[in-house]
Amino acid sequence: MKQLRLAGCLVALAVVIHGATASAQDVTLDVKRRVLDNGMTILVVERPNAPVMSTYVSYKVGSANEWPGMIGAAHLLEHMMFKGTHTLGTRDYTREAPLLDREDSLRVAITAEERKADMYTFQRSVGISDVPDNSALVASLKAQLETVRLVLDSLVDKNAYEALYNRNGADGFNAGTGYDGTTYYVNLPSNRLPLYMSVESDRMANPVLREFYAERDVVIEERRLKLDNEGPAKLFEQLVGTAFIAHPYQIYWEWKSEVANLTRPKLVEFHKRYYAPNRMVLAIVGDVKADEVFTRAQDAFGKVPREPDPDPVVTVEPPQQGERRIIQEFDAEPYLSVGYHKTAFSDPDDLVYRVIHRLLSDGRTSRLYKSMVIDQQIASSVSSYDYPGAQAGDLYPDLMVFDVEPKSPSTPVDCEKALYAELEKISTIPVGKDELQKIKNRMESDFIWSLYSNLGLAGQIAEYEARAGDWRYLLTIRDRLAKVTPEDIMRVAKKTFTAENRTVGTLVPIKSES
Amino acid sequence: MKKHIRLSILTATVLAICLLAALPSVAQNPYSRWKFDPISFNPPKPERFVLDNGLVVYFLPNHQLPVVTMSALVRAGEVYVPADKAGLAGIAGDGLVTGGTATKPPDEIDEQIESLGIQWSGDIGLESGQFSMNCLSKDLGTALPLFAELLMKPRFDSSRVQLAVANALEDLRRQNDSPGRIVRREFSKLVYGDHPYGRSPSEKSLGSLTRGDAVGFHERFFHPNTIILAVSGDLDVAALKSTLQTLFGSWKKADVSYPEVATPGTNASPGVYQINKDLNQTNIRFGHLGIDRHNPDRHAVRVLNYILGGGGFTSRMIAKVRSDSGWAYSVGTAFTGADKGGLFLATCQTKTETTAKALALMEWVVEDVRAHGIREEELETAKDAILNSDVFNYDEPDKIVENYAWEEYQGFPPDQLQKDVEAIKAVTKADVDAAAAKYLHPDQYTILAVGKIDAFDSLLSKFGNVKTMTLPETP
Repeated sequence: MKQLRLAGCLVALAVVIHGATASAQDVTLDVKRRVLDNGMTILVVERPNAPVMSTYVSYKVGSANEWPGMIGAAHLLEHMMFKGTHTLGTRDYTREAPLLDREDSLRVAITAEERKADMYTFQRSVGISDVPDNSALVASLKAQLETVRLVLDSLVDKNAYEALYNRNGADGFNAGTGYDGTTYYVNLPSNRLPLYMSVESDRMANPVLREFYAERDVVIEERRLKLDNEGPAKLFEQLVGTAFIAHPYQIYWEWKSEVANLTRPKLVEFHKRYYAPNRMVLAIVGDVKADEVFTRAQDAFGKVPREPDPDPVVTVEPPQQGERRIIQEFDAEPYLSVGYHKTAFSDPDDLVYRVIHRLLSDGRTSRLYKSMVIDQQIASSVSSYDYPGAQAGDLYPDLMVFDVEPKSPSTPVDCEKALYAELEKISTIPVGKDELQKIKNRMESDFIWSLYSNLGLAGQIAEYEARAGDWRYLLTIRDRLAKVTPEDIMRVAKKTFTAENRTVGTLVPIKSES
Repeated sequence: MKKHIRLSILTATVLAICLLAALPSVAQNPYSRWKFDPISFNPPKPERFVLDNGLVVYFLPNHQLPVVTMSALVRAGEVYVPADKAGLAGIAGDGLVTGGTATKPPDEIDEQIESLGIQWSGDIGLESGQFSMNCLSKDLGTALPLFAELLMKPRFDSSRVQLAVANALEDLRRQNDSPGRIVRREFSKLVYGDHPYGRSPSEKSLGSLTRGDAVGFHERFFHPNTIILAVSGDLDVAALKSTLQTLFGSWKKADVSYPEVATPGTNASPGVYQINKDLNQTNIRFGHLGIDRHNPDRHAVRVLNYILGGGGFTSRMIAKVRSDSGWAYSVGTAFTGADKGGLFLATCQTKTETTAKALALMEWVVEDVRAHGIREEELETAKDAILNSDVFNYDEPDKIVENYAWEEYQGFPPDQLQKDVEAIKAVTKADVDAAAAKYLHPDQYTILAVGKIDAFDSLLSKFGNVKTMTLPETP
């Protein structure tokens, strides 16, 4: 239920090499794959070490698929998917269903009447006479709503979905909404496979978005927690809103005003459009048999119909042709974020960017850390990451971001200068052979570690499958990485790290009265 | 009008609670009837051996991937540091990880570790230090001697110690930036008072720290007999034993005297406290002293906490404050673990306009469990959840060895994890109800709210005498 949004922290780069150079150790990755007739993709890795399984679902929908009036739909729907089905989470669905509809229409009516009331108030304030008064009607609608809510509350089997999985031993049970993907994952004892398949197909086919309006408030509260009251996150929201003027990536986090006006019927429609089997990848890693998983998936999900593919995001971000600068005032110490536009995951230079990230900010020997934290001591931390930064790479052209925490008395301006000096270096001086080999070694080591936990592996193959249409994309990365040359790095750095391609955000302290 | 709406929402919530209580509490969904065989699994038991100098080692082989995990638990901590040196444990941990060894300067080690993709990190907390090293098995010949040398003969290069202190001072400058950090720190200070559990470093204490302090800390607390190693991965026990003997064998055991850590007596500052900051969401935290790690009632307390506010969405406080009311994204309770006495705490972040309402509802949830106890099916849910997920303590070899090491570190017998399972099975409703009566004390609450005070939905004075605090000065 928590969003996978990664601002102000170092995003782990998904590192992908298979096997290795002569000195490296080979690992085997035996992924079994099945695509059902309705388009649902299932990936299985059998690992019979312990009687457990990790399950990871990736739907090809995220906040980039939203439009004005629906901003926040993907995230709120992710929360609502925990509210149960026709049979799970209810004491009597036949009584509940019409009341849920009644609640929706009462809320629509109340909103409409309140808008009228605002207009009447305005009219009165400018001295227009004989203005109607609808306050009694509003009060009556609200009283009806209250009654409906009370009955609905009595019909809910509260948090039944979570309770069911928890009682069955769930571990690491959560979900996340990204920009191009939404994920649901849970570890369970592996003998619960039949239960998992049955419940998950029920959630796909028959979700009931009950308790919708309270959960809407929860999502707004989540924004207050993670964004509104944290300086670097507020700065980041302004930064990406400035760097992107057209593409949906411009909205870092859904606006309160948008979420507050989402309705249940709107989300039911959104669900039908995007939560179809042909837009879903399920990966299971653990003590299971692939054939059994495929059979059970066919039985459980096979009857859910395929839906037409919705239109992809067509908006293309126009090229940036000049530096953009923003200031965010907040009651916190100074902070600097700098973003550069770069290419999508499918661009041939994608791996070059991954190497550049490593060279610049991964570890104590990375160039920015060495220069700014150890040698000049003008920053207490520096990091770089891609925004949005999906595990398997971003579907659309994204932003390479540098975050710097200046160390007093150094200022964001000092840090900017030092950052640009390093970016200039990487754009003009070829990286040494040893330094490049170090990065390749690290990426290989991290790849092997990324296969360690069942959930980590399930997430990785599901994400690559969802992004590239085939999980084996990750196995191609090793050969492509081996071909990255110092010249590639210089060429890509040079075209990216220009002043006109840059957006600079600075957090400027203001003190609140105490 | 506005006031009326607020009231009716609260009334509706309370009414709904009454209605729910009257209904059959387990709804019949088709899935609740599914029954599964108990998980039959005998997790591998790690091998435990002790070098002549007292170094304890837990080991499990794991040949699934060509990797090795190693973690060292060290009996050291901030609680053993005098108040005027507050922050020393953290600086010593940082200095050890980054400051090189007797034979190798920090830059060289950094380069070596990162060139091989070795993952190397460490930290010294309140009551324990933990250092870990993960590497590909082909690199073990380089990685393990480095790890051993760092633990035994850290250089604490003065440039790196100074850097660690300077970064800690910058962190102190930023101590009031985030409301979550403010509420955690100030609440601990209020409840623990002068006890080291409630302490934070100051500009003065950090400024006084030198390389000599870090070296002294290491000399005092780092000895083979204060360390438990947990190792898993792609190697065999004979090879590990002989390598560890070669690397650590000459390290001399030593008598270490640990300063007596007092048992926190009573809540140092009960009452209601507020701190003003211009935010649109209030951070609420209330509670009092809880139980220590070895408390014989801890299993009943664990079940109680699961039901009260620690069991995710199935727990009462989350159901009421989040699912029913929509007043919080994050809300819940915890009994924190500590040797001499942890905390009971309830936490929530809610918009400014629902501050008092959310706090009242949270208090009511605690009062209710004290007054009426728990229901049998809540007990069943909590026990099922804890027992059925127990397998995830053992599903990966690194978790197994680290769990065994941690139990021993805390002074529990080797089969404590299995005993815990039996103890959870034995917990009854009466045990949990008794724990609620014994360990929840609304009369001892410290309540702290950080937010925009003049916009709260009502004064907090209805919860007790309110004191308005100011934020600590930053350097």
